[in-house]
Amino acid sequence: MALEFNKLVDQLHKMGRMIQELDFDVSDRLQIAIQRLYAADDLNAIHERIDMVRRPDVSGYRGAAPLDAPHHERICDTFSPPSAPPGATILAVDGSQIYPNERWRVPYFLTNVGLFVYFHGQEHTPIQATLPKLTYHPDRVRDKNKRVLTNRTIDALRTTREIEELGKAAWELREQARPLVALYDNHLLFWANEDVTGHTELMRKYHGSLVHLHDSRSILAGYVDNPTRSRLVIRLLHLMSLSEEEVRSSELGAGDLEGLSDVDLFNAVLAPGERSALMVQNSPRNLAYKKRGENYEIAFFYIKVTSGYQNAIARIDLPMWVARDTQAVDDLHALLLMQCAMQGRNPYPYVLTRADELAVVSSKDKAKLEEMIRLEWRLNQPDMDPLVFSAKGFGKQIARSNKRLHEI
Amino acid sequence: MVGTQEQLMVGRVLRASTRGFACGTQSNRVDNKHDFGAFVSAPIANDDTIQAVGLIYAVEIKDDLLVNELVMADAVNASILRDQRENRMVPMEISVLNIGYRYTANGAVVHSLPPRPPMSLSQVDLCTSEVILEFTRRQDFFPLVLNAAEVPSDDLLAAAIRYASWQHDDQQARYEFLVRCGRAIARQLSHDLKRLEHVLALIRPA
Repeated sequence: MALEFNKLVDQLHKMGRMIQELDFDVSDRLQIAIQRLYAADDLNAIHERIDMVRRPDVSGYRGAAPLDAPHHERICDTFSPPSAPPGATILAVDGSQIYPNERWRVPYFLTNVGLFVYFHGQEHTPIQATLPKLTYHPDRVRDKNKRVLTNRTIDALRTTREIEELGKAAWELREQARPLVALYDNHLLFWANEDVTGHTELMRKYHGSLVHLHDSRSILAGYVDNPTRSRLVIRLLHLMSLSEEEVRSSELGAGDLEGLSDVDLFNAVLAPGERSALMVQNSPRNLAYKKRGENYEIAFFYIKVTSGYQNAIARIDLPMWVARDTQAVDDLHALLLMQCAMQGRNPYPYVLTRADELAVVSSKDKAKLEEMIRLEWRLNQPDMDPLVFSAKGFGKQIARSNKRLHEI
Repeated sequence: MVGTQEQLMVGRVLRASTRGFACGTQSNRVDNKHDFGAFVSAPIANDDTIQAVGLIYAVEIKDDLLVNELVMADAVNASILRDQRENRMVPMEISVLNIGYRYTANGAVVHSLPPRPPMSLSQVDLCTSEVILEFTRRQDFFPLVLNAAEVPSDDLLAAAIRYASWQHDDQQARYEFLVRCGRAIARQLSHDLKRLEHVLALIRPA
């Protein structure tokens, strides 16, 4: 039965009236934020304030902080587009998955990683590869309580595979043109919580891959497109507006800048092609990364990429071994701008678009894979249906099937 | 004209009927084997002894949203062009109108629709000079082209005649072939002088 849209008309009108009443105007708060950003030109004062919130009697600050001296940059500074290196190798990975389904007698899951290599400055056909991995052994598809792995666990497995494959590819291509940029389509502060099966092992693998990428002297970067939920710098600006007493007593969120995001701020502050200062996220997770080695703390900057038609703000995560290398940051900055100007109006890195295209497992692909699994069952267990019959599932299937016309 | 099977390959059948078929290939493989009006052949379903013979009447290049976006870019660099053409395999579709069939065993030609269509994925090859000369010895396939509603029939017939004429090495033989074809068209289009004039103009020897 189709949705009865006539019953939704009144509700939609009400929704429209509510939208009309909502206040989307953040310009007053934005002006305050911009003033505070330009006023925050004293790195010593910011370091003092960050030291203060890192003391045990103050807790809960989850905002931005400058890098340690001598690599720190004034948070109010913006950086013009540098010139791009004449040659570079740019790798990108992305992944997708099929989650396990208990209805199969032998549940399986699939992770697929798409890898794309672009040779900047050379007329060379890019390299592409897909790396599908089917996991079906009960020991690997079920947890210790014999339950099928959760979707969160599969997501974590996919993430570790993505970064692992990026590390392997970077190592194999280490002799190619330098700089070697390894681009990942997400933030780099991966964290597997305790509800993820094998979380300790997954974190160990993830950090192992970071080491691999470091060993191959890659410029690793995590590309976070349109990070509307990110308020790291806004929180820092709020922190800098508080007195010492207020820092100890108040909640260290966005305060009077609530509702404003870093994207709003840097959309106003950055010109097309510019980047913000390098900063780090002050959080227990990042501290844990730093404790594994100073090179593995995750820094970030914002960048306003442009296609010439349209601009977009992205947050670029990068490990400290990259952040401390001025030339590497400049190369990354320039190459990202070039990548974002490559696909017409859409300001997004071409390599990531292609990696996503390679990685995605469509519903048609999934149906085809299921057909192939059924064939294996027929060959090896001809008397048994690979799917446990579900009256509910079958009922849904027949009721939702396409209607047919009577034709003569 | 004659080469190895690989050199003659135009593509592989995507879908087919007795009236014609569509075949696909990679865009980077498109060359003079895919000319409008070229003679091609493919084995019919479950019988390698009979080859459907057809004329290419359309070559279409597919797109997607990414290609659309790239078209909007100020300049597309060489690496992206290679990536799009070689890696992404933007498919090309070649449409063919059946105009007859031939028995491979003895080379006998029938100017009528083939008994069965080719199967999907069958190899489609460019016809050799010998096959084209044999096939166009008579002009009985002209009505199949002129009456095909779904194709630009006049231009297709003219292109096919010109294509076939190039298979004659001797200039006099080429001239005689074109005159013979002109007379056959005149018989077919005697009721439509405007159309006749147009087609004859298209095949007039230079």
